[in-house]
Amino acid sequence: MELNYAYILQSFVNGFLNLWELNIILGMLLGMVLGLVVGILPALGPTMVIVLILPFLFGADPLFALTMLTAIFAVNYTAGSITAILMGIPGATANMATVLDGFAMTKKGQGGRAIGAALGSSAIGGTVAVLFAIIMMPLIYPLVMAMRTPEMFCLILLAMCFISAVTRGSPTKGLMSACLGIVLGFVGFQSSTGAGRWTFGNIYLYDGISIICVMLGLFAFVMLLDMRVSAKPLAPVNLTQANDLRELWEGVKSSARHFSLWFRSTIIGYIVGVIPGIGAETAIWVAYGQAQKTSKHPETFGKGNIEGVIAPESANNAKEGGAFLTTMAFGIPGSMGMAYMLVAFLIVGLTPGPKMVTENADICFAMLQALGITGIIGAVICFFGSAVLLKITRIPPVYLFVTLMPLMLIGAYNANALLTDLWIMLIIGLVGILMYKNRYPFAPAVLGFVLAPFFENYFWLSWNLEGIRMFDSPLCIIFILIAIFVVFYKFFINSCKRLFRLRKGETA
Amino acid sequence: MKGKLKQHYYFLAIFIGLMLFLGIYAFTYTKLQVKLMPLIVCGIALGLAVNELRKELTNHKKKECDDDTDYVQLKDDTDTNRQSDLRIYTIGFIWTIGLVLAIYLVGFLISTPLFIILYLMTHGRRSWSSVLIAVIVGAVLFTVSYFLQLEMFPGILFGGIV
Repeated sequence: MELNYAYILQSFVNGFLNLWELNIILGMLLGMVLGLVVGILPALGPTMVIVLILPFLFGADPLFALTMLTAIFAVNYTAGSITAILMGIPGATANMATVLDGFAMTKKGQGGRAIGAALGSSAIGGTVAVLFAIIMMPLIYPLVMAMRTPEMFCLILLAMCFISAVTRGSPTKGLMSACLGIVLGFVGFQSSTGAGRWTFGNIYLYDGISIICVMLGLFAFVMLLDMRVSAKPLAPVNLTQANDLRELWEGVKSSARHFSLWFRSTIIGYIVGVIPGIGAETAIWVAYGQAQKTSKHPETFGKGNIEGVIAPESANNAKEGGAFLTTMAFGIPGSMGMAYMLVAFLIVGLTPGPKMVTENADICFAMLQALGITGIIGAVICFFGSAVLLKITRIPPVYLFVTLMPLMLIGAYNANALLTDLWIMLIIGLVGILMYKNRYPFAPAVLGFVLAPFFENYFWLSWNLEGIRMFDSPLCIIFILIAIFVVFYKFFINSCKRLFRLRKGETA
Repeated sequence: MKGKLKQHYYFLAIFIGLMLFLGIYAFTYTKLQVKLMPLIVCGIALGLAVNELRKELTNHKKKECDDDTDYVQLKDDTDTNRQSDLRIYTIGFIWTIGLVLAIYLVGFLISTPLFIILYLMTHGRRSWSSVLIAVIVGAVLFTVSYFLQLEMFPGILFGGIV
């Protein structure tokens, strides 16, 4: 396929026009409401709500489903900044850095200004990152089209290594988690031979384990049980500062005045988003660190400096633009949350990766545009309605548990209309609890499960066509070298340090 | 610390056992295309798990050497927290199994409000608020399933076929 700029431009326009259909607008609105609610509730995250929604998206219009999920990501961190600033409790982990200066500003009576700055920088950061992603789309086309089956195999290998090794905690645990996911993904028919694998004569297992059972069991079930252990209703907060529109507007103006700061933070967030597997948690601290280094008053950081709010809030929203691009174009999740977005692509019948960009470019552009538009609208809603949103934090977690648990079971049943799925989900949930208690990450397992069939198919297709020569293309070699480095980087660094110390000792 | 270590030992032991079993089982397949990838993945997983177990054992020995009174005190505190966490997880898990069994018997539309009422009342909520929430959730479920045409299992007592 040749690089066709007319097709790209047409897809861009089509994507934009498709966004204004009634069902898509309603979907985005629903996504925004859900994103704002889970953003403001520390007990729930965007991933949780996406996992719970996914079973109900079978057969849904892809654009409707994907723009709705995009809207959840777009507004989640924006809402999370409000609790971070007023209560000192981040709505999401990506709002942790905002607590340092935001909460300090609240204590000084400048909470409204801090919220305004957070909303302004979130909206601007998110939108600029989306513009970057849209500009990058045509530029990555040549790379995307150079991908054949061997390159795709190596790319999946790289994705799994990235998400396992870069994940929080031990890389060994991440890799073990990915292996477990791949093993679960191998259950059922082997596609090229039609032979059953690890089915033990059970008819249910011939079709493989349902992706919904794995996701709900490994993630939603464990998180719901964990909510019973750790979540407590938040203390009521004084809403005066959130209601002061003049102060809020002052904050927005402050974020506009710190142009170079939010621009730098946006670029940091975007780059971190593009790198597979690294989440917003990294972006915010890097942005916060550079803000402190470049500030005229670094000593006031942590004591209520507005720059300490603008930098992380620009970065966490900008990260999504980069993460979406990597996920759509290469099928590699740009962050942990994007691993679940990959599942959403498959559920609505789209294959993430080069095919997605070449055959469904209009949907890709529409998603990016929805990310920008809903990000801005979300910030506006928070600007006028933060006081109302804060009332949601008073809902006791026990009510969330009793309503979400049946919803999860309905979702598990709805995927195949089989009660066996419920038991399978509970068994996987038990494994999930053991993994969670021993600090094994879930995202590599989900990614391994989703990509296992593709991984195997690409391998055998390439092997049958080219044999061992499948690895001799430059792209394959680059991907494999990066994968080796990502997995063994700690070993490399330690070896280099040891060598350096030895040489130093010799010279001394 | 000891509790965590023990728990992790068990997890690793189960993991190693499972991978060994699946690897050996995969070895029995005749076609190379069916067995190659599972063998590679199980092999890698086994290697990683054994390495993790080795690391845990080495760390455990080191910590035992450094043991002192403060550490024992801290250890007891974390053990108590862990046990109470585990108890809450177990209770939540049992409630979920109960809900699944109720779904088997009477279906989603009856078991869900029933679960909500029982759960909230046993967790110290007032009976009227529990019933109100159960009714609201039940009504929402019914409406959503009706409009989205979701298939809700009616329960074997009401003609559902497993």
